[in-house]
Amino acid sequence: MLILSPEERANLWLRAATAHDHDERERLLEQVASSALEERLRSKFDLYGDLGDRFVDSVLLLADADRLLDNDMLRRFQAIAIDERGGDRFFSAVIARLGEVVEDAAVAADLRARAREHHDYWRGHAPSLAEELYSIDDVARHFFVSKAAVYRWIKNGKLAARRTPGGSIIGVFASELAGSTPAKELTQLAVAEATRHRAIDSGAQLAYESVLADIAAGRAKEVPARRYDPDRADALERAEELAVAQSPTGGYETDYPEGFVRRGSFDRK
Amino acid sequence: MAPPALPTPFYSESDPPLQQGDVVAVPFARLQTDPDLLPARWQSIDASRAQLELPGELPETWAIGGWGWGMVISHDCRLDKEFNKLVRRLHQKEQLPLHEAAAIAERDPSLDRFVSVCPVLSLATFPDQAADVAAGNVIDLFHLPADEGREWAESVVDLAYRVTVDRLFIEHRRLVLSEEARMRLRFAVARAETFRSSDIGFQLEQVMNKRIRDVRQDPSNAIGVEIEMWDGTVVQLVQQPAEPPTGGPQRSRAPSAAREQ
Repeated sequence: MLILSPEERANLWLRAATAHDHDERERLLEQVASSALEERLRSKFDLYGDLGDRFVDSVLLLADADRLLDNDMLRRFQAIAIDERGGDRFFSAVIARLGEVVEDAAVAADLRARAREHHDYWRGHAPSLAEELYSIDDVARHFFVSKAAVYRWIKNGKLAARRTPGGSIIGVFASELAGSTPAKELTQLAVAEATRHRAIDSGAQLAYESVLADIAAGRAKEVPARRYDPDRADALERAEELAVAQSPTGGYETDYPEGFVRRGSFDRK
Repeated sequence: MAPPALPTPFYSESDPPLQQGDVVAVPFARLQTDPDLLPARWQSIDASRAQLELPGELPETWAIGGWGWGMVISHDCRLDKEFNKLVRRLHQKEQLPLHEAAAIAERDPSLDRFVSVCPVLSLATFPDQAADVAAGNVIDLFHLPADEGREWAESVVDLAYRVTVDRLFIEHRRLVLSEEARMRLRFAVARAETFRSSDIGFQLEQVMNKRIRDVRQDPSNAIGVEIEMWDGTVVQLVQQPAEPPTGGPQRSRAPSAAREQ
């Protein structure tokens, strides 16, 4: 069985994406599809029947429709090597992208027809893959963002989530993430997210610059270690005891000395 | 009324262990729901931001902060309380010599670990209030005069931005306040935290035509208060025996409601 590391997967993907010769490109894409099938999907399908060939054809079709060789799918392909559910997720992304090809009027009619046939077939034979759910952790890892960012995307309607009847989030639909258009949009959001977390550029001179300059110029000294001074320690302790002894424990009486007036409210103009 | 003269000297030549009023290099951070809300007065310390990892049901929570010079606000009692306690125990109960007990306690980084600090900002941050700040008339702002010898520019401690920081951050100290300046700081802190709900301090100053320098509890009377004026006179009062009533200025709507609009 062909086992590829994430690095080998990236290498294979890159070679397929940059191959100029049509036959060579097809051969490499078949390797891509076969490795996904061999490593993770063998148990799900009868590879000695028609399904293996159909999966390979689905992958080739996506490449022809320019819906396969992007960074998002590369990350999914690499995840097959390290994530138990990576194979399922790569497969669900293939199904989602076939659906996109079906809907894209700019794609040649024969490709769309083939895509429809594959899409319908896979949805019929692997409905669980088509409805694959990603956890919030998965989405965060996939886009290199914080979980808080993913929650915000859901809250802002950038991602659809499956929820319990009580409203708690169960996961994000794979179809939300797998299509090339949402993946691009979410990748842009992730980049914006990363930028947002970085340094703040207000144009103001930052205080830490003068701190570093003062330290470098010897204008700041190291703070000496603390010393035990019995007299001072006694004085501080006595002061605290006195404060505790004088603190009221049962609340204050609101019995004002003569001449004191308690204000009822503040003037509000 | 002329502003009170600044304590002379304002800064000390001494090099004591960490104490209230020290200006030290520290980080600052505040939490807010909008990462793009960056008030002008804190621009010099707002260097970076990060979102806290929290369940999605909670509001978006951002930490915004950076490093700068900050003033130690924690009182000296608080800075050495656990340290002194441990030294005393080791010395009195375990019969260790004082220097050995102190050395053992000094090696324990968990003692008195957290310190309260406020950022030191340039006076130029408050162009419209510079004169009032320098005169000590702005609650929440504690004026630090320039010192040519120390190459220190006129600055302001923002008492409204108080941060709890890990003491282990504190390695470098820029300034040590004189005892008189430390007393002035304590009054500024007390005024910022307790007098702001009532203008009694100002009223007293107005009536007396003198500035208040210190306020302390009368040691012979649990509800007696002594107010020391800058000319050295002391006024004795009976302590106001209750919190100010509710009903002061309030927001017309909750911040969350305002955000949604």
